[in-house]
Amino acid sequence: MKRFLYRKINLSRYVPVEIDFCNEVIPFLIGLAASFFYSLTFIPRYLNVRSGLFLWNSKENLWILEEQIQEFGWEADAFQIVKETDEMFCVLWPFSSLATFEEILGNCLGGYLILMIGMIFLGIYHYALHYRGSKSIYLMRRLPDQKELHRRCLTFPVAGILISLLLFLCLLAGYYCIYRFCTPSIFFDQERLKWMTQTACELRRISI
Amino acid sequence: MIELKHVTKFYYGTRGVENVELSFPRGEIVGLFGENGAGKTTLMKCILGLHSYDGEITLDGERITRKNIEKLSFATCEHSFFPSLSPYMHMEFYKEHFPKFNEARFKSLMDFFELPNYRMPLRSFSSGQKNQFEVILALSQGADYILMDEPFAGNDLFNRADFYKVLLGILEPTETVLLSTHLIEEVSGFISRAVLLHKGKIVGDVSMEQLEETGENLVDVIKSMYQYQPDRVGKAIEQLSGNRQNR
Repeated sequence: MKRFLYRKINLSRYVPVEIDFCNEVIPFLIGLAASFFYSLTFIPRYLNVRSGLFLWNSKENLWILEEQIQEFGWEADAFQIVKETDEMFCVLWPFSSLATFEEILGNCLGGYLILMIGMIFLGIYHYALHYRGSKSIYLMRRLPDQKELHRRCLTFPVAGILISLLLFLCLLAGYYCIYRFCTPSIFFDQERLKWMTQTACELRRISI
Repeated sequence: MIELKHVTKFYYGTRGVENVELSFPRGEIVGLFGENGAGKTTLMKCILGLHSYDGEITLDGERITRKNIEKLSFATCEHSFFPSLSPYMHMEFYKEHFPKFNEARFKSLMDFFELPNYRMPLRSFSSGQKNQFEVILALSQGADYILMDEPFAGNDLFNRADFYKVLLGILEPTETVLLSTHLIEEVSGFISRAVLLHKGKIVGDVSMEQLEETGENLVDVIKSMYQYQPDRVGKAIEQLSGNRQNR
């Protein structure tokens, strides 16, 4: 075990013979970092949506809002004042509609998908390299170690896809947790949704 | 011994080789001759397992698998080395994958052919030097059977002459060379046997000893086997010039 742990892993064995491991790893790491930073655009998108759930108004209008709420069958204290200044107050407005997670996410994690597609092409390129300038494929295919060619051509792209996929799923889970747990729970309340639908129907009936 | 039994290879309906029956015992230098497209390269690639085929090919009585493939080496005019690697890096790679790699032979051949610095990438070599290096690798791999497919295409006469001498000088009695080439006259002096392919079929298999006994010349034998008509060109020119005059 100890010997295994201390054994130096020769990473150059996992890329085609003519390729420097660093020349592949560095662009990949840059791609991962760029994808991560791009995915962070989810945060401002989410905060923007979240801020839309709140309503800032003058304190003079507080009674009007309470009346509106009561008119549609809710208790006057259905909204709580979240923030207030001398003249303004901020409430969680139950009439707001919350964008779905998919809408907020958009293409935030697209970088990882591009990276994964890029890894597929990298695998093809690795094989194609053995036909460029010579037919080194003949040598690779007659090596006593049958796995050598495939190990060199596929290890890095497959590892790249798995790492990208793992980060994609981790971030997806993380962002979903943010969406689910940082949004006021009232917006996931089925009763509220039912009420919202009824209200919308009512408003339409009145307007007709 | 390499034995081929009823070996047939078709490329999408086009004939590569058909029903080839051959054997190459150890210690022979066999010349494989034939016109372009006769199936010389296809035959070698079948032996090396680079092509699928019908029939059976055995190496010392066993099917050719990864276990015994190191007994075969291959030098091709298409080159099978890595262009961006240096000779030194090739040596390291071969040493890693072919336990019988003959480093001393490799170094002495590199010196003999005066190939450029060990650390220079092969893409910077001239085409003749690349051919030489390809052959050096095949000879140094430690294989018992060395397959060479037109290895001197592009090399000058002196280079080739040097190579023939070296080949005769360094080969062990157990090493077998299967050499495919169009340079029949040049190689006829040192091959022990000539195999003739025509349109994918074996049309002749003669030993040089036999020819010596009968006093025949290899080129003449090959021409007769191919039913070569010496006046063919003259007739064609006559016909062409006749057509021109009629116009």
